[in-house]
Amino acid sequence: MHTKTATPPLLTVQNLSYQYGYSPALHDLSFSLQAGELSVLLGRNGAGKSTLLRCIAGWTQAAGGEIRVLGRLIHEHERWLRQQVVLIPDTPAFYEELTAWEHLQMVAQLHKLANWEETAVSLLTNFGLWSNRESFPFMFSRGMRYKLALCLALLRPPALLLLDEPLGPLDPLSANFLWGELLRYQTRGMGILLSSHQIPEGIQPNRYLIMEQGQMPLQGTPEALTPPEGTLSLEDLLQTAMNRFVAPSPDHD
Amino acid sequence: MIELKVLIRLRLQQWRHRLVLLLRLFGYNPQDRSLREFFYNLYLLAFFLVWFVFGAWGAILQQAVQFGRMMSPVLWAQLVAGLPWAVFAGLVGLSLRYARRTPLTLSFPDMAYIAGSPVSRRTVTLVQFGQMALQAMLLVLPVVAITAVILAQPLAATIGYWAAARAVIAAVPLTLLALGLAWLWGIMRLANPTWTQWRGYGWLPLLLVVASAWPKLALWPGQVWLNALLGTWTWSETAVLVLLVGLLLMALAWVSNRVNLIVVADESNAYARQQALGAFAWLSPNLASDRRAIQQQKRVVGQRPFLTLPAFTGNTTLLARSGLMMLRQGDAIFALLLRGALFTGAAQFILASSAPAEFWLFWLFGLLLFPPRELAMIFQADWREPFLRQFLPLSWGQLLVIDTAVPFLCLLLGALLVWLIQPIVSPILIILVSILLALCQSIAFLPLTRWRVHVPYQASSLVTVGGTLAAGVFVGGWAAGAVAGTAVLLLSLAIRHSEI
Repeated sequence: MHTKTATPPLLTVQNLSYQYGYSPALHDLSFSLQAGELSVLLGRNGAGKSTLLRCIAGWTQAAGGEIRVLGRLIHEHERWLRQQVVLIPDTPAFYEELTAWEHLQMVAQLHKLANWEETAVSLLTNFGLWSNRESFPFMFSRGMRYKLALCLALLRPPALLLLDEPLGPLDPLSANFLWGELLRYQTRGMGILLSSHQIPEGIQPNRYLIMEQGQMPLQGTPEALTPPEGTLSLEDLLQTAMNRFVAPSPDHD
Repeated sequence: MIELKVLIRLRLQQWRHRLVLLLRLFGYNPQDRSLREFFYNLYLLAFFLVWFVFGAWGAILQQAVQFGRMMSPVLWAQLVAGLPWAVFAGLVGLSLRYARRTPLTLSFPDMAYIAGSPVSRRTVTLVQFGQMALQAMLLVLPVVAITAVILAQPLAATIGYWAAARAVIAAVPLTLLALGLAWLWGIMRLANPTWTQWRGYGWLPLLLVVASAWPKLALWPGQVWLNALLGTWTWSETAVLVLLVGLLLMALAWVSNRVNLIVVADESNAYARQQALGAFAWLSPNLASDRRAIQQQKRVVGQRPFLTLPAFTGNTTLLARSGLMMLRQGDAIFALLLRGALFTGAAQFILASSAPAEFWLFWLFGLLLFPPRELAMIFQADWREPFLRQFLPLSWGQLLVIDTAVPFLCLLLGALLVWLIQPIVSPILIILVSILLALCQSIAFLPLTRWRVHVPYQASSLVTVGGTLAAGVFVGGWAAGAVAGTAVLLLSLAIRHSEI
């Protein structure tokens, strides 16, 4: 069994910043995530959660700072990164010409996965997509698209799974199944970072990362963030982050 | 009547709005009422008239005259004999098209404010028919004029002098006849709820082919046009043509009042989505792919997918995927085969007939104006979907080679089929130019240098294919091959070092 000191953290983000043109979207973010950790990214609408996830997945290039996955700088190991990290955006897109099953088949064959059919059937069945496997995904609802994206990601589980608003489009049954699967993969060492406004009861993330206007004024374990007398609520966390937010000075780049 | 006025005014305003958007590209500012702006607008108008109407149009007609004079009597006779059949085929084809899908199309605002209003269906149909007829004529009449100029060259001066004018005048009622007939097929389906459910209706216009058993009847519309061109048209046939058009329009007006706008709105969904992309979406390569995606969705929605992804492993899966996606695109393979054949055929014709060097310019313009987008279709799909890109464990260079392989082979096959019939152009040059086109299409998506510059297809192909042509025309075939080879190497290096 390896020790934490021997292996680098699964994800390290240091002084990350990103701009949309002249408008700063992320400012000086730093945090890390260990293998087998479930972290929840919280923040009001427009706080920069999706942008942060896109930067980590290598979909957009950060303006400053660095992102490392298992100690490797992601922009220097782009191809390797694709084997380790998968981001599911809030509205995933698919090929117009391939059916749901063919998407799974393509990924499995491309990665030379053994016995993939069994896993694919199980995933499609549990997410309620089995009867739609021969349909083109553009005919799917948003929730069904998200489920298919989850099937693709879980067919070949990555080291780090990034989920953008996974619970919004899912029905309660699929959401329950997803949580079960996430916890199962978490115990196997998969790191999970998800942005969500709804955390079901009984699910205890390892860490909360709270964003406000592109900054991360608050982060920590649920124990550290729980007030001395009282319970932890997402509303309180957001309010505390808002109170702690300091607008960057105009000359700060 | 008031409805007609309101709808026509609305369409005119929409047309004006689009025109203003286009003119803004040239610096026109409708808000600026200053004298300076007035003179600038005058300058724009004069520039358009001098450059486009007198310059470009004059040059095109001059080339048409040259082409007509180069034509052998045998070719002329074949064209004249084939034209009425082409007109008949166009008539049947147009009817087939509108029997399958609604000729009346609604944008999203139209669905809300026109279909949702108590406006008469007849007004909506007739206004859109008028709009489409005008648009069609803007496209058809210049082509008719050029064709007429070409065909008029061998005619005696007394006949040929006004031949093009007569042909253009005759083309007006003929266009209305073709459109009116096609719209009537489509509108009759929309007016009858049971017919909209019946798939066989889409094939009904094929009954028109029966008319080919009586060639005089089938070829009559084309013959009228030919008679106008040759100066042998009669008042009686003109009167019959006008009467036919009048009857068709009256029938259209009568049937159209029973059109079911719920069906129209349902079938207009793809059109409305394309309209929502913006007036000039076709100018942007990214939006062009959105348009293609909408068309593809419309094509396959509700259908069972044909063929399946073969059970390969590794990168061969991606090749199989390309083939399957191309096949399911319907017309993509055909479009590439046709392009390969047409451009090779045109190049062989220029070489074989020792045509003037400016013909190569037209060839190049054709390549720039009608880019073989299908070459990079699969690569573009991979490029635009970062979610799916995560599952493809290949570098961009590898992906480009695999994604463009199947479309490239289709283009090459089309080109080589023509080459086999008449081997004039060097096959090595055909292969090199095909590779160049695939690279130029693909490079348009990739950010180059540290400034992440995107080089449009038109710019890269103008330089590389244009350079190859120039070397071939002014130096020789070996020089063209050398330039094309160097261009392929440079573009490959640029892709290898692109900043993705």
